[in-house]
Amino acid sequence: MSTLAYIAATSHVGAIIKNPDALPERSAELHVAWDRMAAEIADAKLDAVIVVGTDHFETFNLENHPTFCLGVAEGYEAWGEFGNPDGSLDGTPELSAGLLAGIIEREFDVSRSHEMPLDHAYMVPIIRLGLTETPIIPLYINCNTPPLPSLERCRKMGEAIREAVEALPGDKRIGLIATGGVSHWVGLPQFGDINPEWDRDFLALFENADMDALTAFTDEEILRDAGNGALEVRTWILAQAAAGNPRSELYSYQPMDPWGIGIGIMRMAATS
Amino acid sequence: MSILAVNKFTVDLEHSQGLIDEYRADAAAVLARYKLTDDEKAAIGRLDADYFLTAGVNPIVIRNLLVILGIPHKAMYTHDNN
Repeated sequence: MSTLAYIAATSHVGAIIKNPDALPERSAELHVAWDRMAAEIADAKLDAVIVVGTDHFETFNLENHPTFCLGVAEGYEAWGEFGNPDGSLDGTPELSAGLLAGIIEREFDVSRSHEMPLDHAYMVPIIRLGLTETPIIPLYINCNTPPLPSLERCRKMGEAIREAVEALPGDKRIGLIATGGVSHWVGLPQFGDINPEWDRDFLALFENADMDALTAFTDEEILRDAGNGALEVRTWILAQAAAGNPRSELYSYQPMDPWGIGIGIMRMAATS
Repeated sequence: MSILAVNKFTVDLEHSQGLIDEYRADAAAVLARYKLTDDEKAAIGRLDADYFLTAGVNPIVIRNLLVILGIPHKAMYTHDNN
């Protein structure tokens, strides 16, 4: 039986790499948290990591737009869009295929991609958490092109992923990193606004393992209070569910005005 | 509103090598390849984020379009449309 050996979530804004030391009285604490997470990931000796993110109209546009899409490629190229990180990453087609089959077996009709270039939603956390040498399994969730999958659906998807991972043969140690959020406004007049109060209240729900409250938000509420970028918290809810809804640990939260976003870094307790 | 055409134009502008230079040299010729109305072509020329937001284009697509064409994210709605 394989295991989900490490589960966490982090924001993914490109400035984490492009302008890492902005507002050092706040960013320094974030980097301590990311360094801690990177060390834990290295200690976890993962065979592969599922990176759950969205896309910013780089890979998935309007010709074809999946709700969920799993990468099953031998490797992945990064777009390097707008000065964000580029490069190549190894995939793990066998594990991806096994996971895809397991998820579909559990009633989630997920799309697949044999060529899924990645934008900063994946590349920034992968680089910042030292995962460039770990085979990756990217999972896309539509977080920005309505209709979006419900938060409840993302919870169930997380539970299905956990079961599917545990059914994988070979005693593999799989990580899962969710990326996105917290409050930020992308391409809207409110760009640059942050809602730290909303962010802290929202993140506390993970610490309290309050899944019912997490999935009770409507998208209208999230849009109004935390911006369209906060719709990416779907990935966090999936991760929380995949971890079995533990009392998660907030490693750091900082409203990063120069980056135009509230940054959250959360460890969901490992299930093994 | 030709939401699909705006999306296609934006993606091509970002990823099709040389297209942005071609656009800067002859915008009308490039825009003629897309199923855009005259008003939409004019809005692209003005880099008019308000127009596209009101018309229902995804804000991330609008951001991509304007940033590619040189307008900073923070100035999308405040820059001089002329």
